[in-house]
This record gives sequence, structure tokens and C-alpha cells, in this order.
Amino acid sequence: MRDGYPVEDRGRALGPREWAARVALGTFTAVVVTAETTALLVSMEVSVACYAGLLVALLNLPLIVRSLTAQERAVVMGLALVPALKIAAVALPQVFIPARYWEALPALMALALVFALRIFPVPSLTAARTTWIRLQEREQLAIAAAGPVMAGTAAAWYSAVNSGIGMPGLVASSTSALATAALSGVALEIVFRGVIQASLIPVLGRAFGVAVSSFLYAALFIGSGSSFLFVLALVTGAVWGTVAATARTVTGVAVSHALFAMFWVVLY
Amino acid sequence: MMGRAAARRRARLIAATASLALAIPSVQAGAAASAPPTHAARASIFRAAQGPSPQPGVDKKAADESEDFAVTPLVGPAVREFVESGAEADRSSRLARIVVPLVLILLIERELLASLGRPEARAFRFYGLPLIACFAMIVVAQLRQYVG
Repeated sequence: MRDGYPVEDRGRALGPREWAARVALGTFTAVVVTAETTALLVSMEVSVACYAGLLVALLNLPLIVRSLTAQERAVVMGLALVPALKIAAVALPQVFIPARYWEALPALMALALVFALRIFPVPSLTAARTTWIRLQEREQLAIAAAGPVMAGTAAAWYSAVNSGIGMPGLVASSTSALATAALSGVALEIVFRGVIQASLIPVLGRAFGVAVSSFLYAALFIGSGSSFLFVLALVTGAVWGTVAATARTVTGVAVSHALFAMFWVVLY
Repeated sequence: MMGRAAARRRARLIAATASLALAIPSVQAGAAASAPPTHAARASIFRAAQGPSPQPGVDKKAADESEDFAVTPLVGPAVREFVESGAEADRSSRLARIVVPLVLILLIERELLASLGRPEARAFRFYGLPLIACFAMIVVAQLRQYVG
């Protein structure tokens, strides 16, 4: 492990334990996809109930399966952030709070939760700790600067595949909208690349760890009902995940995602 | 550290309190005169309340954007629609049927694990935090209904 970000373990044959971990991960992913699809097709309450069941199951898994290693417990605790985040995203917003503020609430809660987990380390979570305060490095600044470029490319791609949408142009956006976009970008990177991917890589390997965390990240966009957003999240998640795994810190990708989201808001 | 007998007594007390608390939303659910409308029905009500849909060619881009994009993906169009549709108290009471039992389960398990000296109790406490915040929001929504 260098600078807190885990290094993958290459060239290992998969044993029964690894296969069991992958089956469990597949089940988790299937439940997340089901919950997101349910939000679209059935009702939001059923989706929240799916996530509630998933959260209870994940938190109880280390109590039931006593043979889990510290790293595997870190994976379970990291994955539990996904249902917790989704439940907060539905239950926290209320109509009596202005929309711009309640949009920012789930991101704030996710950041508070991750920082709480870092400040009061749970023994099983210490293996997933990452470093993100390394902005002085040139590579991090380059990664961050790529965010607006990716947003511009994605906007051009969207305009090309959807004939009903014209080419995007720069529009004046409110400060609160930009701040909410940046905050949610940073929160998503810290949760998915900083905790979930960082705990998955030592267990599943780098490629599979990046792929699974990217798919989970994209799965959150199923609820938007837009196939374009799902594909865009999958591609950008894979790019940011690979960069985070290579750079072994999430500083660059967090800033990159924040700039991506802000530029996207300005374009539309 | 608390002894096992004391932990069992504490667990029984918590379980009795929790079952009473869990019974309240169940009674509310049973007393409801009609089933809550489906997501699709609520969406159609919401769209109707918003007025006629935009005419073809008139501000089509804005209509498409409102379908596809939100400032943050954490609160997507489906969540926005859910929050903005229907009565505030009705929506919060439906959410309470999921959130309240979940908070209680996490807190009870946390207490039990803490009484047994298990380190996993911390994880239950941390994951209970956002749910307690959600519960607080639901309580505020209900209070607003009573205050009027």
C-alpha cells in the first residue's frame, strides 16, 4: 500500500473464497439495479425498502460470517455506503427546504459519514482508508483539468446521439447550482473511488475492482431513466476509477468530477 | 463490560420498546382508508398539476433537459418528482414506515453489540446517523402538518 491507496495483488489464482466474494458482489449489484429499476417502474417506497434491506444485510454480514478478513469487512462496510446514500437522497429532501439546498443534503451527509468513519476508525475499515490531500502534485492538477474537457466531450456526444438537442452553449448559472454540482461530485468520488474502489481492489484485483465500482456508480443513474446518463456515468466512472487506482489518491479525480459537474451545469 | 444476564435484560427491554414503536406505523397503515397511489399515478397527478406539456418545437430543449438532467445525480428526476408530488405529510408518513423500523433496528443492534463489547457497534452507529437525520426531516414534515 502506498499513500493509503491499496496496491493490487496480481497473478493470483481464484480460490473458492474469491469466487464466493464475487457471487456476493454480484448479488449486491443485482439488488442495487433492482432497487433503481423499481424506483422507475413501481414506486420510490419499494426502492427505499430494497435499499433498507440491503443496508441491514450488509451491516449484519460480518456478524454472521465470522471468517471474513479485515479487508473483506472493509468491502462490506464500504458497499453499505451505497444504500445509506440512496436512502438519504430520498428521505432527506423536503418541499419546505428550497430545492437547491435539499439537492445538496445527500452529498453533505455522504461526506459527513465518510469523514466520521475516518475520524473514528472502525477496525475493519482502516484497510480502505485513502489519501486525498495531495493537490500540490502536477499529476493531480492535470487530472483535475481534464474534468471540463470530459464534460465538453460528453456534451458534444450527447448532442450527436440525440437529434432533439442542439449543441450546448454557455449559460449563466446560479452559485448554489454550481456549488451543489461540485459538492455532489466530490462526495461521489470520495464514496465510490475513495472507499468502495479502494476496498475492492485488494480483494478482487485492480481491473475487476475498478469495473465493479464503476458499474455500481453508474447503477445510481438508472433511476434517472436516461440511458445516456447511465453510459456516460459508466465511461467517466471507469476513467476516474483507473486514474485513482493509478495515482493512488482521489484528490485529482474529486476535483476533476467537481469541475466536470460544474461545467455540465454551465453548458445546459 | 456488562454481564450477559444484564445484556439479555437490556435487550428484552429494547425489544419491547421497539415492538411498541413498530406497531404504531403498522396501525397507521391499517387505518388508512385507501392504498397509496402508485408512482405512475402520482407522476401523472404531478404532471397534470404542472399544466399542459410544452408544444412541439416550443422550448423542446428545456423540456428534454428537465427530463434528463438534475444538478446532482444523487437527487435525480425520479426523486424530485417524488418529493414534489402529493401531500407532504402523506409522503413523509409513507417514508416513515421504512425509515423508523430501520433506525430502530440499527440502534437496537448497536446497543446489543456495544453491550457485548463488539467493535462493529461503531459501524451501526455511523450508518444510523444519516437515517436519524432522515427521521428528523420526517418528524419536521409531520409537525408542519399539525401546525398547519
